[in-house]
Amino acid sequence: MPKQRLVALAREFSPEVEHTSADTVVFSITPLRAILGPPYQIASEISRRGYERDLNAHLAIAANADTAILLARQFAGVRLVASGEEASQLANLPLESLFAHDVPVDPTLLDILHQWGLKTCGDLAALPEAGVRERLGLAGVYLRNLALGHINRPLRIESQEAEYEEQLELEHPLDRLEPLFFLFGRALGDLCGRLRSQSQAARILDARLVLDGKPEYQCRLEFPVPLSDSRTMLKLLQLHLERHSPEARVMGFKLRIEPVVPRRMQNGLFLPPIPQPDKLQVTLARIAGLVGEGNVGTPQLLDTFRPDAFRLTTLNGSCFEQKPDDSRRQILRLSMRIFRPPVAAHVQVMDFVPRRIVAGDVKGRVVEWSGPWKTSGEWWSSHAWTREEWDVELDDGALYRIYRDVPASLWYVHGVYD
Amino acid sequence: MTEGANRLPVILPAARHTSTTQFVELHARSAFSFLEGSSLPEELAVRCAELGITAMALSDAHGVYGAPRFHMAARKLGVRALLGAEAATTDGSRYTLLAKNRQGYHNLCRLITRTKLRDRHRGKPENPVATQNDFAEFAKGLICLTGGTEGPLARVFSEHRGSAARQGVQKQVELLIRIFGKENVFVELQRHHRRKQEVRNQALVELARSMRLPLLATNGVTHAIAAKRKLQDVLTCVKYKTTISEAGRLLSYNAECHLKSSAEMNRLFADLPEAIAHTGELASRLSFTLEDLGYEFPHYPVPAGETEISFLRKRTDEGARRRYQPYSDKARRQIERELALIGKLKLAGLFPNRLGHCRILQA
Repeated sequence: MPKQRLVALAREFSPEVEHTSADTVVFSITPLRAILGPPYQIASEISRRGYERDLNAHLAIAANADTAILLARQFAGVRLVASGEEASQLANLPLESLFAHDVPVDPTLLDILHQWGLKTCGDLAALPEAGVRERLGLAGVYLRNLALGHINRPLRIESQEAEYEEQLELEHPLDRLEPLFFLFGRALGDLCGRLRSQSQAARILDARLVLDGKPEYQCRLEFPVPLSDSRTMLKLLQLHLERHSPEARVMGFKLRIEPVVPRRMQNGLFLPPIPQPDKLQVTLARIAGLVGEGNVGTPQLLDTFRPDAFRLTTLNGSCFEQKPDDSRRQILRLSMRIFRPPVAAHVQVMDFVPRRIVAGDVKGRVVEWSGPWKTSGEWWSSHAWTREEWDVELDDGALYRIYRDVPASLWYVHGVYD
Repeated sequence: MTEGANRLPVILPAARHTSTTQFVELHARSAFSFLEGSSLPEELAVRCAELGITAMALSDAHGVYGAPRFHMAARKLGVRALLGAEAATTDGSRYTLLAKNRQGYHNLCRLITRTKLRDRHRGKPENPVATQNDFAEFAKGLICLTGGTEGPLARVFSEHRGSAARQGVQKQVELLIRIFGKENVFVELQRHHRRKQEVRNQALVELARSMRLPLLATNGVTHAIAAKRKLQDVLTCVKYKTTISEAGRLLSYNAECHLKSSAEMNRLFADLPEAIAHTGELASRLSFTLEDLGYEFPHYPVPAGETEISFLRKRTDEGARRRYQPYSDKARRQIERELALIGKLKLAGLFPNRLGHCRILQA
């Protein structure tokens, strides 16, 4: 627990914290200078926050991480080391402190140094580098540089596994959604602030509501484009809850966000503007509210010969990307508008060829035709189909695709060619 | 949502034909095309007989294994069993080759053997491929069809469009002509009631006419009757190691790749009657059947003025006089009967050879 509190304190000041050991953390104060002022003020602020958290910790600020670690471990309270004074500050430290540090050297070197009569870091630092290298090799040189405060290394930052989760237990159950949205707004604001501080965005928002006397209400919103705007998220959540209202009063909630690295896009000067992804998502959510969630998405053709076989998949970010204009490569193709569902037709057949069609507004004499184009498949399942298609031109000049469902012996108009 | 189509395809005339030209199926696979055909050779032969098809060429993939069974079954049913095979090329397509004569049969067997032997070293015996040099070396006596969906021209159409496709197809056809000779290349047309196939067919018809090549109608048969399509689909799943629900477009588009009668094929190709007529003409050019397998035993060098049978007769007479003492009429008649049979079976050269071996052993 102390380590977690220590880490939490460090994270209040920097997102990049080195977990040096169970009782030591290191972070850079360079970005804080612009906010909090000179190092002594930063140290003061850190001490104050530590006091608020009831943390009895040592603090050292130095030009490099290892000097700060050595000093913080050795001296209680706060110690500030100006740049260039590292060696003098470290001089009185016992040699053992170098080995207590997490250093990649053979601990038996300490006995050798003791045999040489060395006791403090200052003693080691006073030795000539060439002599140390000759006798102790690179490990000796490293220890000498450590004693001098000359080791400059980047912080070893572990990937942060930040948790984007907010929960609240209400004192009084809510039976209306408006106050709940207000609370959601605050919680999402915090979550999105945290996301942005980590340069991340939300891919999935998982909302769980604790209901009065009913099972937990769950809602999972997957965003086609990662979001970090709390208002858009709130709007999407609001639209969802308005479509699927909780069955009982709300006793509490938990919001959890799955983060991803946000998509970066650059608009082209000569490309038409595309709608803002977050606004588009809200619009799509509204459309889904009208037509049903299963009827909105990106059509994806299925790997089958079944005519008009496709499914709607969740919109993914790629559909918002601007693609280069490849119209020059396109071949002139005849396109067809498909009637969904197909229009039942009465077809007059002569010599195996359709001669006249009556199907609602589509009616007329067939003047040209091609076919039959036969297709059948999935004979092993309930989706089995066998049909004969014809492309016909009616006397009004329109081109239609009609087909006969062979097992049922029924005719339909499948679509019209543009 | 819109669906693309290159153009409104041409019309396949329905039952408007007036005469029926005899159709010969020259591109058919049996179950010996392992997992690419679902009917046994005997089933194909029986179906031919039922449909009144007088001749059919079995052209299994990468082999002639089904030919003997097809030949035996077809002979009993009065169907002429022609022989061919599909040989894979290095570009992934297949040439459909038909044996015109005995030399063609020999070349076809040698071509297949070479590809299999070479491929054995690669560890892929199921996918033997022949190089252009192989085809050129063994082209004599063979007829080449441009193939159906797996043919070289269909491959070009699947990879290119427009003028690039036309040029690619023309190059392929020119290559086939260089290898097999113009009189031995036929532009194959199949009609399985598919739009894309028909678009391809129209381009091929244009090409054939511009290059003065004969069109040839086939049905790219993979099963004897339409009902066998289901088995073919299952075999396809086995081939691609997938389940039937996941096989998707690996499965057949429809159930049209079955043997069709002359009337049906005439109806399908009513606008191209020459494509049907050429099947009969080509079948008449394919003189080779397994009936003419014609294995000949090694000849024995006989002295000038002698034939093998006269030489054998003299040696037999000499031996008989030593063996039979007295040399009775009964023994003479028996020997005469046997010599007549040997002469009829053209085995006269075999016995002097054996005699030579015996003498060597005695010495």
